[in-house]
Amino acid sequence: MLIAGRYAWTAITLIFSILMLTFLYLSSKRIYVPQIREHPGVRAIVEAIGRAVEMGRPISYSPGIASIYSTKYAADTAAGLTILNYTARETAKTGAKLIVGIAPPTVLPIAEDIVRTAYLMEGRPEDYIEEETVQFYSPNQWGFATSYVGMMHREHVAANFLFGEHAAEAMVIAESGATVGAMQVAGSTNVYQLPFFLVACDYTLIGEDEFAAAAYLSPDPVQKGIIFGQDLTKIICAIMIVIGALLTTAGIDLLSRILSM
Amino acid sequence: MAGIWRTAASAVLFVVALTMLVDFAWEDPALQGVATDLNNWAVVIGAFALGLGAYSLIVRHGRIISKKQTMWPYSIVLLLTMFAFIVTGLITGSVTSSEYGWIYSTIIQPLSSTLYGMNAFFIASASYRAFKARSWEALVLLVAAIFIMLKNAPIGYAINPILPAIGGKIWDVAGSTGMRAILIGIGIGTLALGLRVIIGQEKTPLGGAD
Repeated sequence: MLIAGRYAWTAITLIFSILMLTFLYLSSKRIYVPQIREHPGVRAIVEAIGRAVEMGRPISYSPGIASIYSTKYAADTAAGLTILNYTARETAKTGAKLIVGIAPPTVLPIAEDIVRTAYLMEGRPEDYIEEETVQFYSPNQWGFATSYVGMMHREHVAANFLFGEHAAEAMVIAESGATVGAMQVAGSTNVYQLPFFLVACDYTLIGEDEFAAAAYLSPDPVQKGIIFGQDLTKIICAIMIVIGALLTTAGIDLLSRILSM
Repeated sequence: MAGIWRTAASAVLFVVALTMLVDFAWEDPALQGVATDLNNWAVVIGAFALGLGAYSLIVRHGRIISKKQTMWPYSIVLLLTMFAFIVTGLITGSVTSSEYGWIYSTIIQPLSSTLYGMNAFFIASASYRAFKARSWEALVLLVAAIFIMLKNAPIGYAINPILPAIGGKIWDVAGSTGMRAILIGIGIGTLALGLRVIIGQEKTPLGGAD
């Protein structure tokens, strides 16, 4: 039987999931393929890679410090890895040098596989160097931060990408990136670190933009269907908030009681 | 061959994700047992991955030392420190031993605290750049930041009690509203990404490239 207090959670998760999957299905059958505006932060990833190629300097990438099975931040790491896939393919195409810094050991074999395969698919497997292209630093937050900052300074990186979960080390890394003159694109769902990225980086993907970026970057138009579904669920949430605020102001707690069931 | 493995991994991921989701909402002791086992497996696999990380470090820094690349003596220090930790852990048989604790509290903790403290200087330099009022957005940021600073610093109240009150309103109303809006978006975004991974539309987190 359903656990008491999770009825509303179950219903909302099911409704939102069905809504998103419906639009994914509609776009896969070409019944309705939504037009999605280009995101400046996502476009900046391509610009930063191009800039690094022109300057002849490397690109650094961090998929965050959270493990792939972290209860709270696994989605961030997954998003960081999907954007890494795109970044690795673009760098392989353009011949730029990519250095991926890794903190959680569980992410290491996945990141290695992603980058190695991307280089292979772009016909440049010789550019992928084992233990050099993807570098493991430390599972310790500050151990990782110092290693990553050291690498940025030694290599004089021209572009720095920070995705996935970053905590207090976000400011140290992003500001060091600005010091070496790197064009920086970051993304975070950690609302306490977002202001740091906003002031230190050139472009920041705020919250869900990081998750949507992978679908934006996908050449498959089907992927965009789920973004449309995602936006619709956001509109539903906004309407519910307005109705809830009005009802609560009028002294009616019906909606809040339903949602806490 | 790789395609078959990825399909198999997708199928396993689908079943595991569904199990964990249902376990969150459905009360069933058998299902709860399976979910606990799956969580424990993740921890064990994570421990194995640490070995891969150590191997990667040894190979890379061994290469730096053998080729005498830039700053190679630091690589010796890194490897010696790592082996010192491993040997101490093996000899004492526990990471909670006093010897292990001594290394942690006298080396790692002070170094981590120092780096954390350095954040203040990084924030100062980043703020200096960000608070140049070159656009309307930057001007709003600058004005809001000044009021928030006056709210937190004692001098704000000393100048005029209204100043920290304005800062408080910005923090409680504008700040909280914006933060909650972002959090709702993150929740929906997580659900969307999770769905794409579960149904196999997004296979990158399983390794390889799409």
